[in-house]
Amino acid sequence: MNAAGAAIGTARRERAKAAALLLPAALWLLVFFALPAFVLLDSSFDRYADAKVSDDFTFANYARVFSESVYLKVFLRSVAVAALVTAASLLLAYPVAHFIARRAGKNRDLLFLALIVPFWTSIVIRTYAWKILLGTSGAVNYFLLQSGLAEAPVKMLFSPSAVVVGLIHVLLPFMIIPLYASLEKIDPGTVEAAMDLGAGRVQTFLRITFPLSLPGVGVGCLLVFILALGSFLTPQLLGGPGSLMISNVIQTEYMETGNWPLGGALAVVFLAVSLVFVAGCNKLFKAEE
Amino acid sequence: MKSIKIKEERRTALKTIAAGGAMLAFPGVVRAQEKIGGELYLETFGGAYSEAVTAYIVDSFREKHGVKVRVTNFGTGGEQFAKIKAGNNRIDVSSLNGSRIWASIQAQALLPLRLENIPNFRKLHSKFQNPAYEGGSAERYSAGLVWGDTAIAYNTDLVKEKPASWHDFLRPELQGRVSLLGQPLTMVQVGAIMTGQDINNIADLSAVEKKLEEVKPQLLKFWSSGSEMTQLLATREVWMANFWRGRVNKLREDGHPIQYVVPKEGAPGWVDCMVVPKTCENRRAAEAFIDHALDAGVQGKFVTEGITYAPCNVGVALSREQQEHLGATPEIFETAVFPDARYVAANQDMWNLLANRIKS
Amino acid sequence: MANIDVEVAGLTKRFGAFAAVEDVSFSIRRGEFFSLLGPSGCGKTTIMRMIAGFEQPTAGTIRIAGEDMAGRRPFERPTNLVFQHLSLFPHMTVAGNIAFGLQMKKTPRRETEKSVGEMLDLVQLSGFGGRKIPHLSGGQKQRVAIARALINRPAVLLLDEPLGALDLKLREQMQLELKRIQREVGTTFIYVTHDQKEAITMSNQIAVVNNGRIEQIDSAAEIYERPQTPFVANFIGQTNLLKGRLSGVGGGAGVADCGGFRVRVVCGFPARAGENISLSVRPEKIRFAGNLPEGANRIAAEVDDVIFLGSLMHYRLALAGGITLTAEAPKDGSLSLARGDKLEIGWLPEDGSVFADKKTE
Repeated sequence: MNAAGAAIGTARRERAKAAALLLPAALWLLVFFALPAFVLLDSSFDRYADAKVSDDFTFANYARVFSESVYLKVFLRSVAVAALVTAASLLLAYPVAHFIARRAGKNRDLLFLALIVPFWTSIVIRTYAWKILLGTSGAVNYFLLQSGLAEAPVKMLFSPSAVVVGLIHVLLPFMIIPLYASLEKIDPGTVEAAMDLGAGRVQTFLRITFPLSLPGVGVGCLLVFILALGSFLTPQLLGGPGSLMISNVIQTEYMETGNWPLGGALAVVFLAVSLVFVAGCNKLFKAEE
Repeated sequence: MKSIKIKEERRTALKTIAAGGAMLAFPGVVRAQEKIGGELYLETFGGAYSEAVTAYIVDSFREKHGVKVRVTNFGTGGEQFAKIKAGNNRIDVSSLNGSRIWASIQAQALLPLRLENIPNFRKLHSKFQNPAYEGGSAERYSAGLVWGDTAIAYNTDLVKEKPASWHDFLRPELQGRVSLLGQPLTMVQVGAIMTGQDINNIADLSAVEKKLEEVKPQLLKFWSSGSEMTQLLATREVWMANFWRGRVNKLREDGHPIQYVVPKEGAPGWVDCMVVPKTCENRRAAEAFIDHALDAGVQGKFVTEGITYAPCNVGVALSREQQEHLGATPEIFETAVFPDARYVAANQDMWNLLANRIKS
Repeated sequence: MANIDVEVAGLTKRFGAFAAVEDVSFSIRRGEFFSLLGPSGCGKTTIMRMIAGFEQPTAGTIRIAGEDMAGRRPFERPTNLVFQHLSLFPHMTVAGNIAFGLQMKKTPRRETEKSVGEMLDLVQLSGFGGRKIPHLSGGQKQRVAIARALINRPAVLLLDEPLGALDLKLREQMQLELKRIQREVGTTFIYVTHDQKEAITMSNQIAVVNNGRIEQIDSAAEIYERPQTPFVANFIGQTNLLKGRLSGVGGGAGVADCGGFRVRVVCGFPARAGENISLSVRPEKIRFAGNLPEGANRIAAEVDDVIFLGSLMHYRLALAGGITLTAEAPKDGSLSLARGDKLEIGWLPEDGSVFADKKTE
């Protein structure tokens, strides 16, 4: 009886300690995520008319989001671009992550640093770099013209594909790092065991390495997909006349029109779809474990 | 009883002496509203614009009044509009585009200007003393600094025939070489002008949309900031675009073969104003700054040596040549059409949707 | 020679200037339980990895069932490996792990299922086929690793310290299990361990490895009773090592002066008077006054410490010349000694092992 009571007391103290440790993070989330999200949600039910926002409760903004086909179109484009960026990033990132995790040996830290360094440069500058590289008078075109491979400058920028390339470049580290973390954790013995039991390289990869790296694949895909879906700057700088993405639409409502309630409703729907996606991914990869 | 009374008398006397002493020691405390001093938080457009504001307005203001000015920049007018509307940061005086003034007044984000503190306000052209973009409000909220139009910039090397009309955007050889400002307001204005409609009274919006759809295949992209367009013209990605005269002048100064032309159908006008946001904490200095910026001498230097736009003060002495360089001729001013802020506010939502449809 | 399963000759592995394995040779008969025993870093794992095909020898040959293994990749060899950390496939079930080897050989499903069932029976995990690996206990994981490695019916099963992670009780239980499994399948086992008790318990033959070389290959009993080097004597079981100088040599026997006292020794090598030797005497070979047989060395000693070890007692004995010996005796009440007791102790000359010191001069 006494011992049980003491155990309960200890458990309670442990829980209190855990709660105290979690408090800063919880507060941070509350102030910088939950509160803004609530304000967003609240504002999405306000009425906007004649450049004025009023407090009366209305579903009109949501009605518009779902009735105007342009929003669905932009949303579907955003999803398609994000999916493409995610798939391409996975294919590009996997060999890199695998190399760093399994083969790099003592160069591993150096390679990892090389991976992180681009983060020190602003995304704007990195995106502008593509303009310099791929522009009409850019480095690639200069090479093509000088070498006679092309007769006129090749147009590479300002198209959905340029947006995809730009996003892959910016988001690749978000794929490589979780993949690396997951590949690095795999016991090298499992790979040797598979080979010992008669599996060739391809079989070993398909049956052992890849399945064991799935948590990293899941996190990487999730990060890249969500970030690509919400990308704003890259489509604006590298996109063509018809490359609008959902964040650009939301931005216009806030910055140009001043119709914050409609922007809020768009953002809430966008957030909801992202959350559903995250939950779906979570479930998928939890089931794998 | 008696002693208490004496004590109270003594206390009153002490209070009076203390107050008098304080007045002597800190006269500013008592007359704070009237005195120009302290710090001034100024926000304005970034890049060359901000440099010119600092060199030709801020520095002389600082010398004249001994006010410490902190200059910070913003990228696009929309960004600043959102910031002023949100009202979370101290901004004593800010640049703001005329087309956003009325919406900011509606959002109660601005303080009215006390014109008795801004004598130079009377020197502004009458169009800016009671501007359409304030939507007929009783008090004044904005002071125009410079104005201009958004007309056509083109590369004289790549475009052989000088454009004369907005319809020159549709020339077949310019496919994929044209760019338009992606702001819904400007897009609709261009569409309205191309379909022969009044930008402040668009009767047939679907014709505007159709026209813009017709222009779209000609476009390389929609541009979003002055610095972006400058780069696109300089790198010859874009051959023809709607743009601002001051930026084109700058490109030419830097040796790029870019010319600015106002098409025969006319061009929509704009005004860069100065406003005092409600988060202002040094209203008197803000007003003094505006008055200083509107001074004919200060403005003259600002537009001839700084950024080359037309001054809002009609008292600025300019030669004919200078007027043409700045787009400040009386003819241009008479034909320039400034958007009606109330009309814009009433239709902006619809225009935005239209713009989204074009861009998607 | 037909019943020789593994033949290793002149096996050498160098990493740069460092020789991890140096001129190692041994042969193993079919169905034998062969242990490579040595301290960590002695090269025993490298030897095993060369047999498995994960490392290429710098020199020397490995033949398994008469065939040269040179150039053969791990899965082309009739060997399978039980890894030190087991390295089970954590994302597969128990059955999935065990079936892996057969699936790689594209064995028909029915046959695979049957074999997996047999393996589960062999390692006494029937009914656990559907379990997930993370849900198993340490001992169960062990069994899965063994079953997974045995399903391809290798000629040789290599085990790389597989019991290292288990606690003592479980380890002892698994040792018996391994012996049973080996008896049942009849496969040759090569067992790498640093645990001399484990090697002694399980092996038919033990190769003691030190600094990349083999010090001695023999049966457990021979290695214990007749260690050929001081290293082996010291590494296998407990022993007392005494330094001495030979005098009066003749007929394979002699007298060694250990400084403070002299003892008679039996030399297994041609010895010369004046030679420096090491003498190893196991604690249990030391007898006490009253129980000293005819012909035993007799030395005066004082009990320095008494250590109780359950069924056994250890006595630390101080001898003349500052020499200390450990003696072991059963705790059966026949002997009752306390610290400070003075008595005569000794051992039979043939119970000591004598090694010539490498450098005499």
